Amino acid sequence: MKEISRRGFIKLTGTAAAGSLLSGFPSIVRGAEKEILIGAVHPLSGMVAEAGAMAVAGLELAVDHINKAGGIKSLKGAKLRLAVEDSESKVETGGIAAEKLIRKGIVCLTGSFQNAVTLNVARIADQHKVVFVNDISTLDELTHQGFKYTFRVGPTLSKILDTGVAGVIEVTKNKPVKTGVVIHISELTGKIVSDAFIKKTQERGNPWKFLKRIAYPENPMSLAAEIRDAKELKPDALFLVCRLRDAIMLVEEMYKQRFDVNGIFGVVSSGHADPSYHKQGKLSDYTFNICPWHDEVSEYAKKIAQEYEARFKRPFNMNGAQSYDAVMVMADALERAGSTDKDDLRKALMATKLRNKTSIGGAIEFDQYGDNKNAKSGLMQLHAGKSKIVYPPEASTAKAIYPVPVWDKR
Amino acid sequence: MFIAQAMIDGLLQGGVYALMALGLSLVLGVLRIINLAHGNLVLIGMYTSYYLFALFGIDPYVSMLASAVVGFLLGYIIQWLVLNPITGAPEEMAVLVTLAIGLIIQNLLLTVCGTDYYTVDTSYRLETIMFQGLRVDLPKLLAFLSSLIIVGGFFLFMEKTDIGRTIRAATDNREAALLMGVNVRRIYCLAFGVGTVLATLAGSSISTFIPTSQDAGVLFTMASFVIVIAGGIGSHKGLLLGGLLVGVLEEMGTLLFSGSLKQVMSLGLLVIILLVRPQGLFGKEA
Repeated sequence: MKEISRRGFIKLTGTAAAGSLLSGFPSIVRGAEKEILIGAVHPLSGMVAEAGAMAVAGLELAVDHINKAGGIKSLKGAKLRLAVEDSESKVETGGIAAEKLIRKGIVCLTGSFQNAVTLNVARIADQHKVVFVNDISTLDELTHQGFKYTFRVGPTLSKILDTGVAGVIEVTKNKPVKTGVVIHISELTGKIVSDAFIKKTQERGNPWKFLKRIAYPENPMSLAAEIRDAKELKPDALFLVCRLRDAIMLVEEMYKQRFDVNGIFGVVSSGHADPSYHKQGKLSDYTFNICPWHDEVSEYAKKIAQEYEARFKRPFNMNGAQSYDAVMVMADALERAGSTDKDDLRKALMATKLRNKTSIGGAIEFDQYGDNKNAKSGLMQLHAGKSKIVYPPEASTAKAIYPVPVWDKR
Repeated sequence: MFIAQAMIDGLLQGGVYALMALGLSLVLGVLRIINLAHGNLVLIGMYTSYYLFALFGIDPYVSMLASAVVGFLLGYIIQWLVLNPITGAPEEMAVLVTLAIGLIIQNLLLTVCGTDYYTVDTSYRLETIMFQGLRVDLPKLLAFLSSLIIVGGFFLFMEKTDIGRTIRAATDNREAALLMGVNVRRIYCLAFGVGTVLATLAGSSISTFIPTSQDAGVLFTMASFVIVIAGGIGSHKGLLLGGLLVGVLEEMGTLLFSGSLKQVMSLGLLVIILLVRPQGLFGKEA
């Protein structure tokens, strides 16, 4: 066996190290960045795949915009490159996806839509000290776990519900809601959101009485019984927290049973925000939804929305908007940091003040928890298949129609 | 009136359950394969009917014919290409293989058809019939009736046709069938093909009242297993009655429990059946 001398060993390892640097492994070379890898964990299959697809489209558009504008100038024009992994709408798969991306050498991470998946991804990112900029998960507790590297672009559930409850009171002031029934999916998010909604309503002095709270199992084959149950109580309004299939099945069942209410309100309901729901014509029209949304008033956001819709043939909504903003926040931090070092990036993110953004609210600025201080939300209503902002007044694009027309007059 | 309405809704839902589970029952009863791809095969029928409706305006009950052809070819090919080569291997192998087939189908649907939820907007999609103050959901009534026809037709096929008899013979005693000159592998292909036809026919019917989406396969597989186990593996009469029983119990459950617990009655029944009568309500003792 041939022995390697000490000098030979140094020469060999030195050559290998230089070779690996020149060949682009790792892809980021200090002082001469060519490409900065941004990771994203989103649901591209499973029950919320459509939301994930819309979010990824927002990420792609933002990355293209940054790169076309010359990349990260303080890093010698380094271009952003997106690496997307599918969470399959599952917590454990989302975690595996995050680990995989971190092994690939991502500089920062974004995602992951569902609260439970996001929480797991944030935990993993924090363990590895990788900056994680969440786009659209709403759970308040997400940023209160002691994570140092987690930031959130969108509004928290508390903020969304603050605006939402105020919005419901405002748009129904001519015929105030006196009684309501909550129907929600019985998984974690459904329970958390409905608990928080009821609590927030109590904090506002109980403007309406909740007659009943009806929880239905995940993946129902029929929701006839739930609607029959609610109809017996004759509420003024229905407050729904559901996924897409359930949202469609609920209004179908309401129509079949001719169950008329003054208003159907989605409460941070992913099903009601989905474009497939908006295509249900007379069934889905006039449905309200309390949820984050994109800015439909500012010229900047309108331009992005037009480009997004033309390119991806999907409607621009909060999924695309907040993902777009998340990339812009990361790019802005990279620009100001002039470095891809995790702690430099974190410091830069803490000092963020990004005025150009596509979602409702003021400039993006983070508080001590990593939450966007100025994130806002809205109350939407579907008018002829288009989601319109009806509250708050500064962001609204249409006047609310309330009480909504009865089924037989649609 | 409230209880009577729950009964009607439950019976209709039960008919749908029976229809959905029929293909699974055949494959499990005849081929002894725990087919975890079943729900995704139901989806093939749903998508076939959706596209034929969206593109050519063909009603799902007419496009059942196309669903049947697609289902038979797909089932035949799956058995011939993937399942026949592992005949005789431990049963777990087939379970894993069908799980993989299900995942492949789901991902193909995701890639080809996208993430949207599609509704087949027939003229009767939202129609109901009022009878003595009770409301009958028309799409579910049609599914219920088609379930009766398909279960009856399938029974006749298995009992009265040569192919049906050969399928049963090959399953009862594979070696004896081989000695009698039966091409057992071909018969298995036919059986899985017929099982898949039943799944895709169910899909066509279900597409008239449940949105078509790539993620619904697991839901259909799980619901079908409950019905097959409750009714008794291989018993077509049991399947129908099991489906009806589960449907009615779920609806009645909502009168006693909150909605999220409505499955307590049906799943509770399942546990009791497994403890007291493991072969199912109408299954034959092993």
